[in-house]
Amino acid sequence: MERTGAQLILEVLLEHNVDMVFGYPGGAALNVYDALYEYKDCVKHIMTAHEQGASHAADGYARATGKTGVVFATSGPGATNLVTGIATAYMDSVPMVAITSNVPNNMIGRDSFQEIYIMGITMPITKHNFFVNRVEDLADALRQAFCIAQSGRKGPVLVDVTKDVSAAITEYVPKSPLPLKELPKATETELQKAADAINHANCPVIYCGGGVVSVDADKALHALMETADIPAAYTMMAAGAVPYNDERSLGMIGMHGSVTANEALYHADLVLALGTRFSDRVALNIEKFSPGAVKIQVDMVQPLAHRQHFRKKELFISLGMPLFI
Amino acid sequence: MNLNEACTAVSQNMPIITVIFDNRVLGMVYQWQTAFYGKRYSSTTPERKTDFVKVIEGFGGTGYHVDTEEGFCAAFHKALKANGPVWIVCDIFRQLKVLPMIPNGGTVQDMILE
Repeated sequence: MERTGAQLILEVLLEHNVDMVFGYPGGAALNVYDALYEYKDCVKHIMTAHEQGASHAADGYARATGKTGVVFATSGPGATNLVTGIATAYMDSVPMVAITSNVPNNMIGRDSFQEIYIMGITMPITKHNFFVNRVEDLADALRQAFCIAQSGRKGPVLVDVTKDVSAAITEYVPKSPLPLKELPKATETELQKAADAINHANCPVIYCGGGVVSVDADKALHALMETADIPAAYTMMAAGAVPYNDERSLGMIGMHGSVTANEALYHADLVLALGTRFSDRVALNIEKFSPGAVKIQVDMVQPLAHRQHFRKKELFISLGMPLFI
Repeated sequence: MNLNEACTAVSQNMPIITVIFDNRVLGMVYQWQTAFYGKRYSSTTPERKTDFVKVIEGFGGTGYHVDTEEGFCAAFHKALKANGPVWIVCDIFRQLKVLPMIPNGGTVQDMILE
């Protein structure tokens, strides 16, 4: 069936069960907003006061629902105003698809009214981004955006669509969402090494972060705390994953964390880091962070470079948290 | 820094309770200036005259100003029954600090407790 590019955006949103989007209209986005008017019974649009509010709202919606947050903005200032919300989602690994409009194809690259190179601006704060100036590329770019946003370590993806593309008519062929990338799994050897290290430790401590929340591993975490009798400290990103009234809950760790959590980590002889990255707000002094402990880091991505400071005492296991716990 | 979105919460009739702890300074930066910059308060005491109750009322929401614990409890119970957004503005001392705190580059041994 034939659809305009703008209608096609809405169709692909429906393929991914999106029923709510946040945004703010503008000149280059008029086609998209006209399609939203047509699809308003299926997709509810929340108009904010400012695009920054819309991108933060999409981020909050994704955190609260586990679904991908979707935000719309127009070209130029509309797109640049999204930046802080997109960066927030990137830093906190929250799945988001930002759909910006851009000026017509023949105005691109001419410093046109409300033209901005948003792909370049958002390159360091998105997992990936697309510039679509041919309507035949639109549907697959959007489908890939949803797949990338939810695969592995989640995060924001931006799709920039020119006004010609949203106006153009094309053939729409419905498709199912792309399969998500499989999470890495631990080997038996890795698991055995981790189990041995835990069993040999006198005072092991769990240090958990946003990754536990992201993969819904809180129940598995509680089971591990109880079975192995290990207390747990959490980062701001994992607040709520460990019940406040649990006797094994140490509280939040880090710069403004509890005395209990910070003391426990400092004196631990084994740190089991689950879905977390030893950030500067937690490991304020990386050389002296939990200095006497063997560290086991369980995460779905290779840890960051600053890990090298305690590489000698560390065992990295790359896997999804539920599989490990 | 997004208080303008209160108007969105009003449009959407969202039952969101916002508690504003008003110390009338840029608190976290002020705390660092107190601890590490010899109390040289550069651009953290703006002496605003903003009346947050009037701000939220201007957006079409509800606001309460409280300066006691009892006042807070009463306002909070009213807020729980409201349909749209409610702001509860609590006056607090500007000397109150976010504690405990470990300074940058420190360990638990450098923790500031008071």
